[in-house]
Amino acid sequence: MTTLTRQDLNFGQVVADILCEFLEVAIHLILYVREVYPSGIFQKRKKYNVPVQMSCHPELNQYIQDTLHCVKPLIEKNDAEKVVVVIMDKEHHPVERFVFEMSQPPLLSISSDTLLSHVEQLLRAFILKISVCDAVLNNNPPGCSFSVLVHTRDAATRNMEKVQVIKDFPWIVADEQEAHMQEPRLIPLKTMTSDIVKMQLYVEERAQKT
Amino acid sequence: MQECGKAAPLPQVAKEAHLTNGHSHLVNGALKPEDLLSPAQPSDDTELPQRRVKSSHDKPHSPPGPLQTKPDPYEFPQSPPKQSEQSVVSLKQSSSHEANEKRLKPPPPTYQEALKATETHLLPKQLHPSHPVDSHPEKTLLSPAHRSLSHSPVRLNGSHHNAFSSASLNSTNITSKPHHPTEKSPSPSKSSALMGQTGGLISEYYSHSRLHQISTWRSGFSEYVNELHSKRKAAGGASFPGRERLRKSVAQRSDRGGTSAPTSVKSCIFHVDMDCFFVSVGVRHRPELQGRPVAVTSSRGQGRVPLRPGAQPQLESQYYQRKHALPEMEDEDLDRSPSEDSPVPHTNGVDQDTATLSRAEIASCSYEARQAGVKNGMYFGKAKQLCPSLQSVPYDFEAYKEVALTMYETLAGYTHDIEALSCDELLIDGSALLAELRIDPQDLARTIRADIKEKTGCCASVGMGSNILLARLATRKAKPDGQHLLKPEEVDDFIRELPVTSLPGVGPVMGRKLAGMGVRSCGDLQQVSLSQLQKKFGPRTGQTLFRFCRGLDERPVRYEKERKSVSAEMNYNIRFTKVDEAESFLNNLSMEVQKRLQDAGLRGRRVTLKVMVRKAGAPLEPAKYGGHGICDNLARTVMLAQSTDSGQLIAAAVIKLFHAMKLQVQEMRGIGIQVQLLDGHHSGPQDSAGPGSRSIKQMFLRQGSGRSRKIEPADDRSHQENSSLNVGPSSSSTPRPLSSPEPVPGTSRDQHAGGHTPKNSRARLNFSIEIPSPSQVDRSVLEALPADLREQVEQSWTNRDRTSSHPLYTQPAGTLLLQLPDQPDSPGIVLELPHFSQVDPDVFAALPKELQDELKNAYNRVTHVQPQAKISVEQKNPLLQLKQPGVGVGRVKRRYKRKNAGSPVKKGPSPVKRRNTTNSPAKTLPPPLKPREPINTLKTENGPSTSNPKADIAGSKFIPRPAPVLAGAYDMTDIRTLLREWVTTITEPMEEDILQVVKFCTDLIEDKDLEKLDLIIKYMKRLMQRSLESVWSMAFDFILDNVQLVVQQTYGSTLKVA
Repeated sequence: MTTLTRQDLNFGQVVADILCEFLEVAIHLILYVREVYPSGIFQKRKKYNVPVQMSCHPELNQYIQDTLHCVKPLIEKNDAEKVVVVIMDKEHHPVERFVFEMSQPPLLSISSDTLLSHVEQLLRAFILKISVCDAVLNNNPPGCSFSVLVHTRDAATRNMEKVQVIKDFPWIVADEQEAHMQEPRLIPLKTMTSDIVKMQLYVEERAQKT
Repeated sequence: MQECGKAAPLPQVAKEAHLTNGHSHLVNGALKPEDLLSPAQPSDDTELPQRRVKSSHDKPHSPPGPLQTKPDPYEFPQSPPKQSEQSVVSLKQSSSHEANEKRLKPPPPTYQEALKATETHLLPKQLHPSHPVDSHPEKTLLSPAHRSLSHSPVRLNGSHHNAFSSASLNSTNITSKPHHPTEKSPSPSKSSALMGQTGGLISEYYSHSRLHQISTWRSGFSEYVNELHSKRKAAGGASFPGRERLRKSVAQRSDRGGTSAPTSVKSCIFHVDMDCFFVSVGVRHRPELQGRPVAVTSSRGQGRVPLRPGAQPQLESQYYQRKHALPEMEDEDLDRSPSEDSPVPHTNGVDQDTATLSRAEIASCSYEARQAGVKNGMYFGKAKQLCPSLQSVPYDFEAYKEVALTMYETLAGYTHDIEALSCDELLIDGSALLAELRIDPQDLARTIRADIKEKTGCCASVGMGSNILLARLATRKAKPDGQHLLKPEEVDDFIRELPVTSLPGVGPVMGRKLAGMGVRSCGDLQQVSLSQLQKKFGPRTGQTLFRFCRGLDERPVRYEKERKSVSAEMNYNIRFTKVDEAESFLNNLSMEVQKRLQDAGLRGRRVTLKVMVRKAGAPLEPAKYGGHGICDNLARTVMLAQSTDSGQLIAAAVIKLFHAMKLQVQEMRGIGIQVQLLDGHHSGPQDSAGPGSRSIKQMFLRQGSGRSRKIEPADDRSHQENSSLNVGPSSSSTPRPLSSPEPVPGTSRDQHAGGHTPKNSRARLNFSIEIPSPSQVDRSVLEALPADLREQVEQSWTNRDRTSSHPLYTQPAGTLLLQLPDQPDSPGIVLELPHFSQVDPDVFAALPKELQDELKNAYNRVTHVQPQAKISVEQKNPLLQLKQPGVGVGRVKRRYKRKNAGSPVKKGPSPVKRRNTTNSPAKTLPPPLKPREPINTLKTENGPSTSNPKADIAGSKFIPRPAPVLAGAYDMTDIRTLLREWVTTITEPMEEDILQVVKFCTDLIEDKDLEKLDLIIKYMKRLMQRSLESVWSMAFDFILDNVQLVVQQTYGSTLKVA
C-alpha cells in the first residue's frame, strides 16, 4: 500500500483530477437539472454508480472541459477556494449560484484504498443531491445561461495571468454584476469531509427570480 | 467528458455500504486549514487576497464545432440569449476577439438541436431515484389531509340520538338517569351491577350521555362549516340568500334616502349566542311555560329521592366545599374528618336536606329561574327549594339538533366565516360582510337576530367587538335577547370594570388564585406585570391574561379547527369486580376511541389512560347514584411507536398502563382514554416509514426491550399476566390507591426478589404529592398550575414514558423517584427528588425508618450538588426573557434525564455542564463518544431514520478538537433526539440552552457544514413551530435570527428557510 503525501508530486494532481472529474459531472448535471439547456441534448450515463445526465453537445462539452482544465492547476495548488456555477437570466443577472466550496488539508496523506471508495461515495452523495435539488429551488426564468467563476485564494490570479493553460482561453475578473446577487438565499445541499478534501455545495438563489 | 461514459475509475468497494452523508469528520480536524476555519475570514470581493476570477467568457458564440481545435471561450455553445456580452468583458484580448468575429457562425445548436432531438430521454424524476430531500417531510406536513371535509355536514356526532330520545322519554326512574343499569345489567342487586361488561355499554353510554351528546356537537358544527367551505371551493362560489336579502333591503333603504352611513369598521367579530338554549328550545312549542321559571333537567319529580344506604352526601359536600375553599388542601386525606377540626360554614343551610334531594343537574334554566337564584349545574332538588315554582322540561336532543342546525344554516346564509363554538354559540367574522354590504354592524346584528328568531323561534343575543374576546364580553351585556356593540373607545372603561372571572379561561381556580393576589377586576389585573403573571401562571397563560385584561385578543376566527386530542371517558356506572371486567372495558373504550379517531380521520401517538379511583376513606357509595364520588385522579401516558387509530393497539397500550398502575379494580370509578399528538391520515411518509423517522427516541428505548411496538395482542396479554403475577401479590391484598400516603417499603426489594432485574431496575415510590387532576394532559390546564406542581406532573409523565418503554417495569411511576441501580458496585443511590420543601412532612414521617434515612441522605447529596448549579444559572447574563427563574434547573435536569434514559442522573444546568458531570458512578450507558463514523456504516440519505444503531450520546470523554457538538451529540440522529426531547418535554426553553444551540449552529457554519446546519434548522423549525408553546416559536425565531446573521456575515446571503 503506497503512501502519498502532499510532498509527492502527484498528490495535488490526484486530488485535482478527482475533483475536476467530479465538477465536470456536476456541471453537466446542474445544467440538466436546472434546465439551462433543453433536456434533449442530454444523455443518461452512469457515474459514481448512479445515473447522471451528460450533454452530448460537443461544443458545450468542450467548453466545460476546457474550463475545468483551467481550474485544475488552481485546485492542484489548493488555490481555488470556490468554484461557482452561475446561472443567469436574460439580463445576465445571476439567479442561482451553485457554489462548490473546497479546501484541502494542509498536510495529509492518502494512505489507503478504501479512502478512494469512500471519496467516491461522498461524491456520489453530491451527485444525488444535485439531481434532486430542483425540489428545493424555484424554477428559473426562461432563457438562462451559465458561466463558471472561480474564487481564488491569495495571489493566484496573478500567476494565472502569466500562465495560460489553454491558449486563447483566458481568465478574466468577474464583474460585480455577475458576482453579486440581490437578496440571495442560501440552500445548503451537501457537505463532505474526507482525507483529501473538504467540500461543501450550496446554492445561492435569488429571492425574486422573475 | 468521455470518462463519464466509462466505468468509474475508482474502485467499487463496498457497494452495499450506504453513503455516509458527509458527517464523518476527521478526528484531528487537520482537514480544515486555518484560513478556512477562521470565521473572520472575509469573503469580500474587495479583499486583496481573494479575487474572483471568471473562467473565460460566458457567452461564446458558436463556432463551426468540428473545426475548432483550440478552445476559444467565445466560440462555445451557450444558451439561447445571444446578446452582446461585450459590456462584461473587461480583459478581452483583441486577437481572440477578432478570431471570434471571423468565426462568427449561426447561433449555436443548442436549443434548436435540442428541440429536434429525438433521443429518448427519461424524465428527470424517473432518473433520480427518490432520494429524500429533507424538505420533503415539511411538504407533507404542509398538506394535512382534511378528511373531515368529506364528512356529511349533518352528522352531528357519532352517537345514536334515536336510541337516546326514546330512552329518555321512557325513563320513569326516580333518579331519572336516562338508562337505569338494571335495564341492561343482568345482576341488578349488587353494586357491581352498575357496571355492564358488554361491549355495547360504552357506545350506549355515549349515546345516552347528555354531556357527551352536547359536547360532540361542536365538532359536528365545525365540520358543517368546513363542509360549507369545501362546497364553496368546489362550486367556485356560494349563494348567500341571507346576504342577498340584506343587500336588497339596504339598497331599498338607500333608495329611500337611508341614513345609515357605512361606518368603516375595520374588523368586527360577531358572537352569536342563543339565550338559554335548552330552555328556549324546550318551551318553544309550549307557550304556557314562556316567561316562567323553567329548568331543563332529567328529573321530573318533586326533587326528592330516598337516601341510599352507604352514601354519605354530607361528607362529599363538605369535601367539595373545602376543596373549593382551600384548593391547596386537595390531597388531605379524608380520615381527618373535616367537621372535626375545621368545620366550614355551610352557606346555604340546606345541607341536611341535600341528602334526600334529587341530584339531577340542571342543564339550563330560564332567566326567570335565574332571578330566583337557580344556576346551571345546580342539583334540581336544591333549585326546587330555591324556586318552588320551577318547572322542569325534559331533554329533547332531536329538537336541539334541529334548532342548532337551523341556526347554523341561517347564518351560513350570510357568510361562511363562521367558527362553531358549540351547538348554540358561534363566532362570525363580519368584517368582509360589512364591507361588502356597507351597513352598520348593529343593523346586521339586528337582521341576524330577527332571522334566527323567525326561523327557530328562539332568541339569540349578539355581541360585537373588534376581536373575539370583546365580542364575547359584549354578549354578556347583550343578554338576554339583545345586542351590544363594544366600541373601541368604550373598551378600556368597560374591561376595567369586569371581574377577572369573566375572562375566558379564567375559571374558579384561577379566579381564586388571582383573588389571592388581590386581583378581582380586570383593572386590577392590568396592574400586574407580565413577568409576574407568567411566573405565576406559566408563559402562555400569563401572556394571555396580560393581553385579555387589556382587551387584546389576536385569535382569528377559524372555521377549521384542528383537534388536539380525541378521547373517550366514562365516569358513571364504573363498578368492576374483576380485573377481566376492567380489561374488557378498556378494550371496549379503546374501540370507542378508535371509532372517534376514524370518524375524524386522525391518528394519534400519545395515549393517556385516566383513571378515577375512590379516594381512601371516601364512602363506598357516592351520593349520586352511579356517580364517581370523591376520587383521586390518576393518569398515565405512553407514546406509541407510530400514530395509530387502531383500537387494538390502543387497548394493548392502555391495558399495559392499567396493569402498571396496579389499581384495585373495585375502587375504580372512572376511566378515560385520550389520544394526543394527532396527525391526519395522509401525513405520509413519516407514518409509513415506521418507528424510526419520527420517534428515534422511542426506537432506542425499545431496543433495550427487543420488542417491537406493534405488539400482537396475545403476546402482550401473556406478558401482562406475567408481570401481574409477579408484582401483583405484593400489593393486591390491601387496597392501596396509588396516591395513598402510606408507603410501600418493600417495593424495591420485591423487584429484585421477583427476578425482575432488568438492567436499570429501580423502584418508584409514590407519595401523596400527586398529580392534581385528570385533565393534566390538557396543556392549558397544566399551565394554569403553579410552576412546581406542573413540574411534577411533567416529571411523572417523563417517568411514565420511560416506564412504558420498558415493559418489564410494572411499578407505577410517581412524582418522587428513587433510582436504585442494581449494579453491585454502584456506590449509592442517585435520585431525582422534588425540592425538600415540597415534601409533605407528614408523609415523610409516615415513611419507614430506612426509607427516611435514605431520603435524608439523598437530600444531603442534592444540596451538595445544587448550589453550584444554581449559581451558574444565575450568573448567566439573561439575554432573553424566555427564562423562568427557578424552574430551569429542574427542567434541564429532567431533560437530561430523559436523554440518558437508562442512566441515573446528576444535576447539571446546561447541556454542556451536563456532559461534564456525566461521569456518575452508577452509569449504565457506557461507551465514549464515538469519534467518527466508520466508513462503511450503513447510512442512507435520510440516515437518522432507522438504520443507525443507537449511537451513544452520553460519552464522558471529549475528543481533542472534534467537529461541533451539541451537548455531546454529534451525529444527526443524536442531535435530533436531543432537540426533540428538549422541545417536547420542556414547556419553556431556558435561554442558556437556546444560546447553546445558537453556538452549535455557529460552529457548524464555521465548520462549513451548512448541510447539517440546514437539516437542524429545518428540524427545529418543524419541532418548535408545531409546539403548543408560543415561547418555542419565539425561541426558534431567536435562533434563526442569530444563525442568519452569522451566515450573512460568512456567506453574504441568508439561509432559505422554507
